[in-house]
Amino acid sequence: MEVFPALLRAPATGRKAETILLDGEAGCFYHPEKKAEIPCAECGRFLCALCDVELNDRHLCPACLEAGAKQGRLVELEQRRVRYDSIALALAIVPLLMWPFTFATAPAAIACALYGARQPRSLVSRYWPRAAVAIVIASAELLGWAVVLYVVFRDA
Amino acid sequence: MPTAPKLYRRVSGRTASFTGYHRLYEGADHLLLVHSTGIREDYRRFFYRDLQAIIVRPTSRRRDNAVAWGAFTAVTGLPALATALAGVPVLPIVLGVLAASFGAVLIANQALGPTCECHLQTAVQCEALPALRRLNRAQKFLGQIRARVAEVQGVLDPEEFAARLAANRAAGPVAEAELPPVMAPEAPPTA
Repeated sequence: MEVFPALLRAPATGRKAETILLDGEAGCFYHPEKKAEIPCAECGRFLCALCDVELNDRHLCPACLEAGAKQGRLVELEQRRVRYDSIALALAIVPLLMWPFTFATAPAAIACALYGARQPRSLVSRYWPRAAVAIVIASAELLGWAVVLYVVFRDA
Repeated sequence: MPTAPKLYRRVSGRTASFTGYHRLYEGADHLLLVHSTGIREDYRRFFYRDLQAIIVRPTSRRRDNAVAWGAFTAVTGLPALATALAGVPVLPIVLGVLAASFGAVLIANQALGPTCECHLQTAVQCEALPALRRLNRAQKFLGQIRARVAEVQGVLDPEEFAARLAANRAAGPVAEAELPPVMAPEAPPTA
């Protein structure tokens, strides 16, 4: 068992927003009666202590935090990502067991690899090694189909 | 899209589960536990500043696995030997390949060392780390993480820790009078 100093730290207590007492003091955008303490790093709205959310040394308002999480702009909040490179590789390799399906899956593998290149990628793995292998295999399958179709139609 | 800078360094091997595999990565200010299903990755972050303890507990899984894989090896290997001596044509090869596969898993299980369970404690959670199932890997991980946490939290003074622990034990549980009041449930409406 490894114990760290945080074990002895007192539980953190939340800050309280101060009420505006003097005329001319800036108020919070969300709570006009509360004193503004800091602007949001994204939208610039004034925030009181209640609305100030600190994330990696940036101060954000709840709306920007929610929007950032939904749109994938805040990597720190991302909880999942799709591996398009793995999907493309599976689409390229697995149908080889039932090769007639490669007629449909090879273009799908290439499309998936190219689509994934424009999407958020894995936080921990590189994208292109798998995607490139998928594109090469799928291209070879398409080339094979082209040769087969050429031979069939030439003979016909 | 430009290539993102490498944010994480791998600190554990790949540990398989029924739904995919787990892997642990080290970031600048947090640990990242990745559960991958092959087509999707799920992330959990544990910040160094929040880590209170890492608990590593040895388990008997290595022995249990050895018994199971040894039994499979024996169950397939002995009939392979018997059928080979009896001159049966194909069956000894099939059983021999199976026995060799089971034997290889058995040897790998022994070579990877003792097994363990690893848990990570913060102020609000105690999470299992399924990526760490071998004791030697867990110890190596502890050596790496100790330095990282010390950079953020500082080093725990053993004497201070013992004194605080003794003080907490002496204080005992929180008195009922100090707890916040619990609202009584509303009585159901009567007709």
